[in-house]
Amino acid sequence: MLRQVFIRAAVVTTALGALSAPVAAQPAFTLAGREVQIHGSLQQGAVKSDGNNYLTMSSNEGSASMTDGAVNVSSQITKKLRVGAQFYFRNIGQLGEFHPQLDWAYADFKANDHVGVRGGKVKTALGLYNDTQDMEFLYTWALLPQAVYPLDLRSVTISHVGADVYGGFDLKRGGTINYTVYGGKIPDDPNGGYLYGVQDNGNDFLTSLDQTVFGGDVRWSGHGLTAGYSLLRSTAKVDVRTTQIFPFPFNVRADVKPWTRRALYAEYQGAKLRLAAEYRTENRFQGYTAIQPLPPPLDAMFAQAGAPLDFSAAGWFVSGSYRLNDHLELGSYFDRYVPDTKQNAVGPKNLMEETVVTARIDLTSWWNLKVEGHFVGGFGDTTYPHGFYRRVNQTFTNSTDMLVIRTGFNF
Amino acid sequence: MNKVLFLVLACAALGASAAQAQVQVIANPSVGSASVAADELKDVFLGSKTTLSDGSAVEPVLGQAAAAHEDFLKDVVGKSEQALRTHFKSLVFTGKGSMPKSFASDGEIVAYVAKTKGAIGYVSASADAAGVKKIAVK
Repeated sequence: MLRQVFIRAAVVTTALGALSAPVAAQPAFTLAGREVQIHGSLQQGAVKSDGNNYLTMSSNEGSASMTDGAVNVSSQITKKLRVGAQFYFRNIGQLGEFHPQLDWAYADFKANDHVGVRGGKVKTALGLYNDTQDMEFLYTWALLPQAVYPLDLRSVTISHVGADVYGGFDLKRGGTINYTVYGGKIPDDPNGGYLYGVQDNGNDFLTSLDQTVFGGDVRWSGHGLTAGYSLLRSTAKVDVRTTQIFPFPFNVRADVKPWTRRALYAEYQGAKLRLAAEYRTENRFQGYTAIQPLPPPLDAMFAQAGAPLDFSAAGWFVSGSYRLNDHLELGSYFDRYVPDTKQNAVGPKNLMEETVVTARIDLTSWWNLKVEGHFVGGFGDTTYPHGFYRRVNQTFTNSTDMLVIRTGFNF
Repeated sequence: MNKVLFLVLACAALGASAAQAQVQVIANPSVGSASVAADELKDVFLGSKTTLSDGSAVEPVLGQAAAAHEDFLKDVVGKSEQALRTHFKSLVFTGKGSMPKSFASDGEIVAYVAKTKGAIGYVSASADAAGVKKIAVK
């Protein structure tokens, strides 16, 4: 089985490489006197694990169900105005299922280097890598630290429909300060996100978990260093069919207000050495109301069982990588996720931590191959999506070791 | 010991200035500045700055694989070619920027910079820079 998986992955990646080669020259065309650039990327991975199945894949048997890609077009209309859009698709286990998504699409008016405005569907600035998390060609890793950048939640964190105000200030020899302030809505994802975790716990969303958001990011850069702080605050209302309050299905409205994520981060990029660390917290206050009236004594039972939830989680990582030459980069990271910080951070249910080692091989400037080992302790809270799902795990084991091979092309 | 250290430092300084002297920075005559700070030039070629301190809007133009290209990236931008292209891809795939124009020869760079308002590029010191403005790097 494993042999078949890797043969399939090899065939797919070779085919993708052949398809990508002719377009590696960065195609562009002219429309109404303006250059329109087209760029894209395509990634294929394969995972073999022992212990638990990962990311809704049958990874214990070996799975090559790990494909994603994007195509974008953009044009600089005037010196100050640019427009563009990107479509993205993925199929990672049961996540995405090849449904194309409008990843971003916006008009960007940059009045000067100090202030600009973007409007439309805009990538969300949160921490070091949120807005670039799916550009695997930027990173040493096949998978970014999942304690902070979980693949399951990519589609409900990556971008918002709304507007950004952004800019920067040059501090001369003191580096630069860049800021982003934004507001809008983050649409729910019916093929991943929070839905699968909720469903696996015997519940279901009756409406979309759309978030109204505002937030900001400020970062200082200079001398190879970047350090910054991000805040994202949202509210959401969602109707849920639950079996956890009564021994029969019952519809409630969950009112999440406020829902706050904070990120504190730093990165150093030298010519060959890259070091990074990020600390992320999430706080969510969630109240419930019954959608239909309840007779006594059920109303009293509901008031007790459906008490508001004050939820806090935290995750962090430290990473380091070193480029040996034009073709080889080696790296390692450690990350840790605690689903409920009000309880003791002990595994396997209230802790997920992993040590990861990676070799990145750059075959050409547009084609890379990554080989990565994950050594995961714990599985976290399975109702909250961070890799491990009941739908592919009848029971859970306390640790999981994984081999991840991923190749990517971009033009 | 001090003499040895002095000689080493002097050789390093001579080597660095020799490398910088291999490159001349050129711009379209529409660019107002006659000189630009090295840090400012770096920001322009990283896409984080689109105007110079005198208010001139600028567009960076890259060379390809020539000695001037390698010297410029190493001495001014501080990145390898691969790292620079990766940096611009991060802008392209978030919609925050375009890939800069790049040309294979000094002649093509000079021709493009001469005809494109705001264009700023670099060529080897010996290249014929007719029709463009030479920019001093402070």
